Amino acid sequence: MTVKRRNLYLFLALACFLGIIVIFIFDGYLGVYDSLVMDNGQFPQKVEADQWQRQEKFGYFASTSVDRGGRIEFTYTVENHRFTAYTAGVQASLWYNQDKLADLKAGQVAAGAFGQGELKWTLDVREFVPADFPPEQGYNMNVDIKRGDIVRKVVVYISPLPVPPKPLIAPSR
Amino acid sequence: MKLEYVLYGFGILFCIAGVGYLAAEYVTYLSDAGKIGSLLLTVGLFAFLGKYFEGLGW
Repeated sequence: MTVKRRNLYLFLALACFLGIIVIFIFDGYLGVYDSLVMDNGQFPQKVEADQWQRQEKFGYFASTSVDRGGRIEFTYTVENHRFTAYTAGVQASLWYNQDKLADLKAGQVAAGAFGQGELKWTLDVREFVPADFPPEQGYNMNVDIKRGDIVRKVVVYISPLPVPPKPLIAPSR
Repeated sequence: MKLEYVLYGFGILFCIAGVGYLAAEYVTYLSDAGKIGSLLLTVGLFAFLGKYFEGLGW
């Protein structure tokens, strides 16, 4: 076997190795990825696409907090890293334990090839915290975002209202 | 001298095991087309390496 031919085999082996690396990178990039931005007016918080996998694997839920009279603006983004367009129905709903409180948003999200689509809605928590709920206690609600068979859950924590300390009455002498 | 070769052997084995482990972890996230492509390229890689070493006289 000539040296030239032998080297050709070595280069072909290297080309196969590089091909495997390229497949690993490109295949990881391809797919449909979704992220969520929750803006409570103080600091926007982003739940990245890979955080949803942690939710599925470890039961971890992303969360945000808001004051009792506050509002949260949600921006749900679907990034389509594929060669074909992507369209899906998205329904966002608000839950307290197993009780559905409201449908927040329903619509289609459409993204062209290697493009992105987004859906926005606002949650005004004043409408959903029971009026008789003690203001010095926090309140938890869940927002479920359903896209096809995929359900994303985020916890919304409503902070307790600051309660002014009761004035101490000096004991009578 | 022989001890050195034993250590080289351990080093090579650990490298292959490490790369194999990482690849196996990553392969679970690959699409079916990606898995087939990677498998074919792996077969090609070992085939061409085999021909190369055959040319060296191994």
